Amino acid sequence: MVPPRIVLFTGKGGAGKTTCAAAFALAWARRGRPAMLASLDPAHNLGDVLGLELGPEAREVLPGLRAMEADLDAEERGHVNRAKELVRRRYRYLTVASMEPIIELLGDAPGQPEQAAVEVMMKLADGTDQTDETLVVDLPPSGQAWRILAFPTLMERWCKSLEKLRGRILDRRKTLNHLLGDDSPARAPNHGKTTPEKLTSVRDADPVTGTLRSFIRRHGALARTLKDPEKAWIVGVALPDTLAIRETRRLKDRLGANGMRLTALLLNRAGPGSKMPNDLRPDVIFPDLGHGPRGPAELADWDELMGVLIDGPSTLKQ
Amino acid sequence: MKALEYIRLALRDIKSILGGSASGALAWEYREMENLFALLILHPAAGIPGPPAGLALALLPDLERELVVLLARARDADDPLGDLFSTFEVM
Repeated sequence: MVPPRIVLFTGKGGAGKTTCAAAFALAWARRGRPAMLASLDPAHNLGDVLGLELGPEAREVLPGLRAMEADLDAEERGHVNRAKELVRRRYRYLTVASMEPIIELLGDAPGQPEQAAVEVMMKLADGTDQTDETLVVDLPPSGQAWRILAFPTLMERWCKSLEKLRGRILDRRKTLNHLLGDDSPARAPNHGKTTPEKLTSVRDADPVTGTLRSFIRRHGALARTLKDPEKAWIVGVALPDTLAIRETRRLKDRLGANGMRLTALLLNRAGPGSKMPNDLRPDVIFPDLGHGPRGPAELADWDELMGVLIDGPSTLKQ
Repeated sequence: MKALEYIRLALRDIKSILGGSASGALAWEYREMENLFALLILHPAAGIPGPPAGLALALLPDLERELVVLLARARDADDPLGDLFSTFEVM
């Protein structure tokens, strides 16, 4: 089986996603497969599970395994500050003053945490492609995780629509420039110049089209990876109780509605009488130990059971 | 010969009027599309559904003209028919 590029863990809050992601990454690395373990959960506890101090810079846990906790707030602030800086440089002085509150508002708009998580995931995936590592991601609880997983498709769809609209604008700009020459209204705002700059009508030279195409390319590539169960394993972590089972089923349905698949299911803290419904058969069952394993040495106790998942999720073997 | 000259001048004027009207309509359509593009990008501020706000942050630095159009349209919003009539030279 070709190793996946990304393995993502999610589930109901408190189900043991982080412990399972850490145990999987350790077992993966112990089998000689390099991995990058990253937490995209704003309420990180990957460092607590591994017994290490983690931050946004990856550090080595053991040979072949690096780990990090993404700083999603800093990622969001970075976008806002970059936009402010560029607007300050390119816009007229008076426009800049009125733009800054709008940029702040956009920075706090719904969808920003999902975009920050996706941006980090794309950067990490680009990095692990260079180093041949498998990216193991500890996602937030399923309610937020499926939004993150659906985000690249949503962004690609919007950018494709906007690119079409932009193309129509550029076509009209070209006709106006041709018909009216220097009287064409398709000019940049007058920055105190007698003759304002003529705007391009060439798609390849238009910076807005360039940005949209870059978003389409990057988000499209991640969306295709997430929809390919050979390249991205989406692993659900469930508990043997009614609420966790219902949430896992909702996650499975929502992923399916967005063209993705719950590739594998791990049942955590299972007791002797624990039962799962037929549509949610777990690949691996972890017994209830009364406490979660902490640190690489204790997590090694899960090595053998994780080997079952590493050999390939049951949905890919059918 | 004089009659032919009159016809030639008349045709030139008709072409000029039609051409002016067509380019005016095209300029109006062009401005409306820029306005729509800016509205879609700034949708969280405008209160309409639109693409994720992070896209707006990435595009804003290159959208000064569209924002100027948007603000002008907002300023002229109390007289939309006047704007339309003057574009199409209705009155």
